[in-house]
Amino acid sequence: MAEIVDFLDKVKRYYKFTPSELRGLIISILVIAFIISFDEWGKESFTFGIGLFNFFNALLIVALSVLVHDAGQRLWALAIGYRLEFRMWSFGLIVSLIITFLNNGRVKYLWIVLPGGFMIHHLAGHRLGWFRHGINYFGQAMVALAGPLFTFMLIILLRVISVFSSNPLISKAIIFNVVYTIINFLPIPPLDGSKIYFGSRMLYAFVVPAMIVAVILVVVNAPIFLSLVISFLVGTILWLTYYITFERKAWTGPK
Amino acid sequence: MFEIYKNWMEFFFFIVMVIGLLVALASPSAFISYVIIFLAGLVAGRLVYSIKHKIKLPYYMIIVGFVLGYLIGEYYGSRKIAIAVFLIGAVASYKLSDKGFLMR
Repeated sequence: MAEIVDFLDKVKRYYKFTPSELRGLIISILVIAFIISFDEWGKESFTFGIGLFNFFNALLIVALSVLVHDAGQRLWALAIGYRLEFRMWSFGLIVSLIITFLNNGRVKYLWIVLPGGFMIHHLAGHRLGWFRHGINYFGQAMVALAGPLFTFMLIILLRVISVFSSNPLISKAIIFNVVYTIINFLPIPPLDGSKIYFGSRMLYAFVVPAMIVAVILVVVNAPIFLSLVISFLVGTILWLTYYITFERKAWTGPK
Repeated sequence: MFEIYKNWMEFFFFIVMVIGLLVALASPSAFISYVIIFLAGLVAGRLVYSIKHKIKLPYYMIIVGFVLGYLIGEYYGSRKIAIAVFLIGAVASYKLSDKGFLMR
């Protein structure tokens, strides 16, 4: 019970966004919404009204997805005694925009979404008693992993909703979240994948294939429980393969 | 023999020039080509800002490489307008970075 009270107190004190985070989040959400609604500004010719409506829909989808992703990481960070700060990646956003303009709607769902990463701050008092008191790579990897996990849970929720009332907005939200999850797993700093990769290569070797398979299976209407089991098996097999073929020889320990 | 760590400026000059050329060739219209060069200007301005206190020449050369490649591949639009748009983007991005609007 004390842990829950402590956690709730931490959420109350440290969950809020700083002005620079808010600015970064708003810019990222606007740019990504523009990217995913880029080819929806009229069918034959440019129509401002239709475009604005689609942009607004995209804004809702992106805001929900980015905030859920961020919430996962923020809560996890607080649970282990860190405070998370969202950092917009301006280079990433500009590269995403350039790719969108070059694609010009030719390849559907070619959404390269690179909103940014995060930085964690040490809450010294809240880390008392932890084995590794300071900021460490593995802790950062676990925080990074929470984002895609929350996104995955959002995908499952959206899939369940779409079974009862299917509509294009929910379908687009599902596809966006799949793309967002997969791109976030790339090991390019400051994306989540890089933090997981540098935190633990073995964790990366397990989580990335497992999550990608799970996400794809959920999207192609496979039963959710079966998707989880298959993704776990795929993750385990690739994890073992990676260990046997590379990690075992790469790290033999002190001689 | 060519060693990257000694000649990294030339290496990246060439690579970035080829990227600029390909990007310019892939742009489907004059308007989009101006938008892309404006965005590239934003990146360049940000890069110049981030190396404010370092040696600048190699980075300037790499940026010039991209612009050269882009101008070679520019098919639909005017090259003069492209240069102007690039400079506007770069200056805007530098000023925005200086004021703290563009983070990392």
